[in-house]
This record gives sequence, structure tokens and C-alpha cells, in this order.
Amino acid sequence: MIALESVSKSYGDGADALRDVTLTIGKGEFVCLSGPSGAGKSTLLRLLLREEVASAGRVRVGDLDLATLGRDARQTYRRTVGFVFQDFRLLADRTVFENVATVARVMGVPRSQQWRRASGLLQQVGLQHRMDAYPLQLSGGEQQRVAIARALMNQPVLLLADEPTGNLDRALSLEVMETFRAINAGGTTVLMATHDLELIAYVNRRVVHLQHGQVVGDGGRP
Amino acid sequence: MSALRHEEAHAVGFLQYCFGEAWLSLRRRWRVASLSTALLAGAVFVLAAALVGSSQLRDVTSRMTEAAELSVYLDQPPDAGVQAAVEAAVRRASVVRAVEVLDPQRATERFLRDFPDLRDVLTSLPERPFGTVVEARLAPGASEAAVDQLVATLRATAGVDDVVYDREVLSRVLLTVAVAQRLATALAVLLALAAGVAVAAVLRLSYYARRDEIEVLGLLGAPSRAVSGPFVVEGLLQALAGTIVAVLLLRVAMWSIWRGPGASWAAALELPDVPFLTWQQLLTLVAGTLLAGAAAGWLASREVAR
Repeated sequence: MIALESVSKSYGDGADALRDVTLTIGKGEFVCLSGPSGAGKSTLLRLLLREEVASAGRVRVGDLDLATLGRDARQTYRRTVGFVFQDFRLLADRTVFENVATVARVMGVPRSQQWRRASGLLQQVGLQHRMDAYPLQLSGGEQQRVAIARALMNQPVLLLADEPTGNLDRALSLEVMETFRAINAGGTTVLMATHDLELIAYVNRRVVHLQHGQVVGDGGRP
Repeated sequence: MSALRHEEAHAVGFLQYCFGEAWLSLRRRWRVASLSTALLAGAVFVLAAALVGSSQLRDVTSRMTEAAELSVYLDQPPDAGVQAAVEAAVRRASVVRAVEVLDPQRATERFLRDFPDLRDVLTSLPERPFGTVVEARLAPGASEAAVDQLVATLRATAGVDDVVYDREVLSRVLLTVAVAQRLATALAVLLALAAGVAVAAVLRLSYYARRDEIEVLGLLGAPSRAVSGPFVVEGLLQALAGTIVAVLLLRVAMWSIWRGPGASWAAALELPDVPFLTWQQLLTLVAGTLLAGAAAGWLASREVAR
């Protein structure tokens, strides 16, 4: 499903965010990316979203070499990926429903279909009663749950989550993990970056540990 | 499980999204949008007025060309010998199709018929200003050189006060018309450019206002058309509004002029009714403006996205 072959990513200031990372993730796996801040977790996820391109090496998802995708192919690829951003990236002037249904809305999907899918997801994350609220009217935890619902809207084949429980209390964090598990049980590959060791222990799946941009551990349990 | 990519989405739904977003954006920035639409309306108004004017002037000048006349004004008091010599010279000329002699009384009557507004001026004069007039209608294919030669001969004839040749007046009129048309076209082009810049600027503002949203759309996999579509529609809506306002204003302006101060001109120029754009001209104008508005929207979104 995902194959990173000797991938490095460096920025203009010479800092290496990733160094010679080789990693394979099979279809349907649930993988936790752990490591301290600055270890390269977010960079790895951004490469997989094709928000950035590797400085060296190759990133493949399925049959696609992400570096070679043109603009249209890149957008089509992104619609198969769900991404939970660390900073949520919700649209402040759109309601919760509109945020969750963003892509379906711009693609012209009939509103009834948007409504059916979005309301189901919002019910799943416990926010069905806030459909008409605006993001700034929600708490940090609620905003994060909206971002999760939006990531699941397209029934993605790959779910990437960057610290998805950073603003949630323990109980909600575990609920989100249950949601991810359910999604994963349906066949979606899940790759979650987190530095929360308790959560990693709760998930109890494969853990890839990053440090200074390199994979320093890859095992079944934390 | 496969991803739900919405590739099967309906075109109608996409259009609804584009119109909805464009309308929302125009409402949010209605002041600047109104300004650019007004500028656009001004450009379309001038262009449409130039089109109407050109069509009407072409008709009038064409009729004047076909009915070109040569009028020979004789000195007063009338001299039968001079009149006979001039009349004979005119009749002999191969470029003349028909001749009519108006005595001073008929010349005055004709003047008053053509220019009723000047009746008071004429009657207040101490003596009648017109002598005998020999009017010649020229043959349709008469060469300019031959007519010029006849005019020169008549002007040199003793007892002739003046020779008025319509085509000389006509060429002056045509020259003036051509200059006026060029000026109107230049003004319309300038206004159109200004309007284009204004519309593009409004759309760019709109783009910057939605920059964060557009970035998120991109990360979520929205196709390019989902980003540029609302801007194209916004340009279209502004162009449509500007064109409708301009055409309505022009219609009202022309109706007012033709019913008021332009009525006597219309009668003198034998114009049957209030002239206006033909359907073909109107459709071309609307299509051209809409195309320009859509192009401005598309270019603005592409330019800023670069």
C-alpha cells in the first residue's frame, strides 16, 4: 500500500526533516508514528498527502509514484486520502455541516447525499447536534472531531492523522481511537502520528518510531 | 472499501455550487462589486451607443449620398437671362439627371418646410433672403471630377451668388462622423479596459479573501475547476448585470432624446422611429461582455493561484 524508499526531505535552511527513511505499510494496517516534536512525523504525513515532495528517494502509494503526479492526478489522489490536520484547518465562515461536506459540496454532490453522509459521521463523533454551528463556536476538542469527520467523508482508502487527539480529553481520545479502529476494520489503512504513549498502548498496533528524521524503531508494540 | 471520490457528481450540482459561492462573494463585497459593475456598465453603454449611432449615421449618409443635389443660388433681383443661361448649362451637363427651378417664393416655402423652427427668424428679416434657385439632381453614377468641373463652371458664371453641392457637405459630414466614431470606439475601448481591470481587481480581492479556504480545498483534493468555477461565475454575473444596466439606460436615454430634443432632428433626417440595437448587435454585445467577464474571472483565479 505505502512504500517509502530511502526518502529524505530537506528544507531551504539545510535542515533535514527526514533522512533516508525506508518504510513499508501494508493495505489495511493501522500504524502509529511516534517520536518527539521535530522527529519528522508531520513531514512524513505531508509527503504522503503530496503536500510536499521528497528531496530524495521515492514515495509510492498503491501504484502511484507521488512525485510524478500532475495537478489533476494529485487532486484525484487526495480525494482517496483522509487527512486530520494538527491545526484542524476548518473554514471559519462555514458551518460544521459545510466543513464536513466540503469536498462533496465543491464536486456538486446533491445536498441530500451530503447531508446523509455528513450527519452519520457527525453522529459518530458526537456532534450531530452542532451541525449548524460555526467552528469558532466550538471548543478545541469539538473542532478536532469535526476535522476527523471531514477526513472520513470520502470513505478514504488511506487515513492520515497528525496528532488527532491533541486537544481531546482522555475519554474523547479513546472514542476517536475506537472510530479509527472501526474505519480500519472496514479496510482503510490508518497512519497516525502521535507522541501520546498511553494512546499508542491503547491502540496496541504497529509502531514506527522516528527520531531526528530517521526510523529508529519499527515494531508491533510500543 | 474504496474511496468515495465523487467523480460521479452532477454538473447541475457543480453549477449550483459555483453560483452559490459567486453570489455569496458578491454579497460580501457588494460595494466594490457595484463599483466595478458600474464601470462595466459605462463601457457597455458607450459601446452600445456607438453601435446605434454608427448604424443610424450609415443609413442617413447612405440616403444623403443617393439623393445628392446641386443647388445654384442666383443673385437678386432675378434676371431672366441669367436664369435661362444657368438652367441651360445645368441641363446640358451629362452628370445631371433632373432639373427643377424654384422661384424666390417657392425657395422660401421649401426652407420653411425643412426648418420650421426658423420661421420666426425668417419672417423678422426686412427682405426675403432667397433669390431663384436652380436645383439639379445628379445621376447616380456621376463621377466626382465631372461634378467638380460643373460646380467650378457654374461658380464662375456671372449672376450666380453661390453653388451648394451636397456631396461637399456630405464629405464633411462623413469625415466628422468618422472622427466621432473613432473617438467613441476609443473611449469604449478605454472604458472596457478600465472595467476589465476593475472586475479583475474585485475578483482578485475575492480570491485573497478566500485564500485559506482555497488552500484547504486544494489539500482535500478539490479539482481546479472547483476553485476557478466560482470566480468565472462571479465575472459572468458582474458582466451580465453591467450589460443589462447599460442596455436599459441606453434605451431610456434614446427614448427620452427622441421624444424631446431629438424629435426635430429625427424628422429632418427622416428617421422612422427611435433607433436601437438590432437583435444581432444586442446578442453580440451580450455574448462579448459575458465572455470578457468569464475570462476576467478565470484569469484572476489562475494569476493568483500561480
